[in-house]
Amino acid sequence: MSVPTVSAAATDKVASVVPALLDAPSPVVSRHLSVGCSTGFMVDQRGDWVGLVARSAATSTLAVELSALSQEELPGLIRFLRTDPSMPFHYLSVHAPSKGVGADEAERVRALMDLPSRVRAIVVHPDTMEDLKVWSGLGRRLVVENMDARKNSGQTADQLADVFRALPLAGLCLDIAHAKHVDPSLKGGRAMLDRFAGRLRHVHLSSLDDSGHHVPLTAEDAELFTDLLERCRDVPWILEAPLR
Amino acid sequence: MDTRSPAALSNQAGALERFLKSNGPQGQHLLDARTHTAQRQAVVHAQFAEEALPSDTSVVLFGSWARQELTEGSDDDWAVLVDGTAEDRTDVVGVVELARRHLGDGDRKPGSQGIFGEAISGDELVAKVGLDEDTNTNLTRRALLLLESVEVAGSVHARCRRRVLERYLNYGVKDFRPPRFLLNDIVRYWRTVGVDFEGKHRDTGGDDPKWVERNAKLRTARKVLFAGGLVPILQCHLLAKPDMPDYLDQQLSRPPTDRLAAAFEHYGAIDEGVRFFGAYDRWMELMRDQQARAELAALRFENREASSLFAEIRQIGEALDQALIALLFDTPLSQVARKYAVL
Repeated sequence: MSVPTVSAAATDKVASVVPALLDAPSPVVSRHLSVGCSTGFMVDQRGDWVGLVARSAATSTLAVELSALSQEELPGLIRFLRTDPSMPFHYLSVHAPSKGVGADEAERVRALMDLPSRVRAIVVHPDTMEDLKVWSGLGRRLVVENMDARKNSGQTADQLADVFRALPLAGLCLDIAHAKHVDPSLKGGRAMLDRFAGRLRHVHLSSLDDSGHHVPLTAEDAELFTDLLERCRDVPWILEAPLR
Repeated sequence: MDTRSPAALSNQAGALERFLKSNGPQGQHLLDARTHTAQRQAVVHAQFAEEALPSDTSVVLFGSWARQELTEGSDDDWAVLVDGTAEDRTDVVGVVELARRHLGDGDRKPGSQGIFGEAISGDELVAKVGLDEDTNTNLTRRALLLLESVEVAGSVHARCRRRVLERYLNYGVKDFRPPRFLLNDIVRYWRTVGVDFEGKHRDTGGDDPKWVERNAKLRTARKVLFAGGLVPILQCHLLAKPDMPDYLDQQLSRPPTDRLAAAFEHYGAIDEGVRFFGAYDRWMELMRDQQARAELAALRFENREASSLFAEIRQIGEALDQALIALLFDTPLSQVARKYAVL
């Protein structure tokens, strides 16, 4: 079986990396050390992992989040990563399925545990976690994301505290747009950082449209989010929508 | 507080405890290790209390003893420090034998590379800086005397450390600039450790049984040690030349985690500091866990990627990197770090 490689494609795109980031709507984003794309917004290429990686590398070779947002995408992603493809990213995370997840939670976690060690973080929505103890097998790689206002749980620091009590090694993925969706003053987002600063591993960065979908970060949100982002200077920021 | 003010640089003692108390619940393993270190140091002090040492010698401990990170699995990296020459000194041989009786039992014996477990001449540390006669051993001893050493018997340790410091500071230092000579040598030591790590891998034909342990320590304790030396040297840009020796002496008398806790606090990198010490606390927890230590010791270069323990330590190391990079390049310290820490 031939090993998929993205290095050539990525190399072709290297010249565009810096301009892409410099084109960010905010200098806070363009000067951040570790920023990259989620493949979640690249819906037209879903399942084409080689293509998704190359497209992500066109924005940044520093970080990436490979998103298997529906359960049926996960086996293909695992197969792709098991081929040990050459990729330029310094930081690699995987977004675990949040849609179409099966009933066998333990089996789902076992599949995620098989992800190779180059995957540094596995981002999970708390509303897909029922039996918290089975998730402990992911150890420090487990990163729990705060939810938007459409969900019933995982929106506030108090709600996340229950998850973290059961999973002492788990980290926090702060989705700032979700935090704003729940509380436009961002007081809730600040409370999450106040309470779980030591757990922060990862930031999701975008704006949301009226229906709660991720859209490019607006200049207004970039300004609004600045004080939170300045508390997250040491962790990777993942763009959940194109730069523009 | 104005971070450009030299007054802000004082009060490193107990900085880690203060940082952890003010900023979060994490850090219990670091604090427990400090308590354990203090208890063991008291025992060792008592063992040596009845012994008469020559007036120009001290028994000095390095490594986790000096970092206040002692665990049950730590080595006793000791040396007899002589404020002068150690050659042809039968009385010094006697102190070495005495130290061997009190330190380094069983698995705690100092490493096998000849750095520790014998007499060290303060004169050589001062005289042989740079060029061929500054061997790896000499460089390592000199850097570690500055960065992580503590006296358990005798009274010349502080004087020898000051002599070494002044070797760097008595020449070419400018007001309100980091002392380049010292900066270059501390950076050289850190890079040498990294290069020698590869040399050991080669010398063992790619099967160094300690590769994983060495790699884990490079990612964690060694990096913290280097950063704990680098930051105070960079902070000298706030000082006039005559103030630097006392400042650096005072900084280096504290463990590197105090120096870094004070810096995270001083430069307002509180969240990053919380994550830094959270990650380092987890490393300390693993080092205090005999099962984890045994698992780490049994891992080899070939099978490390299959180990969730090694994967976690790599993540801990990356968290330390990220927080230190933020401290150096995303705070007011960046102005001096950009100018001096790279080129």
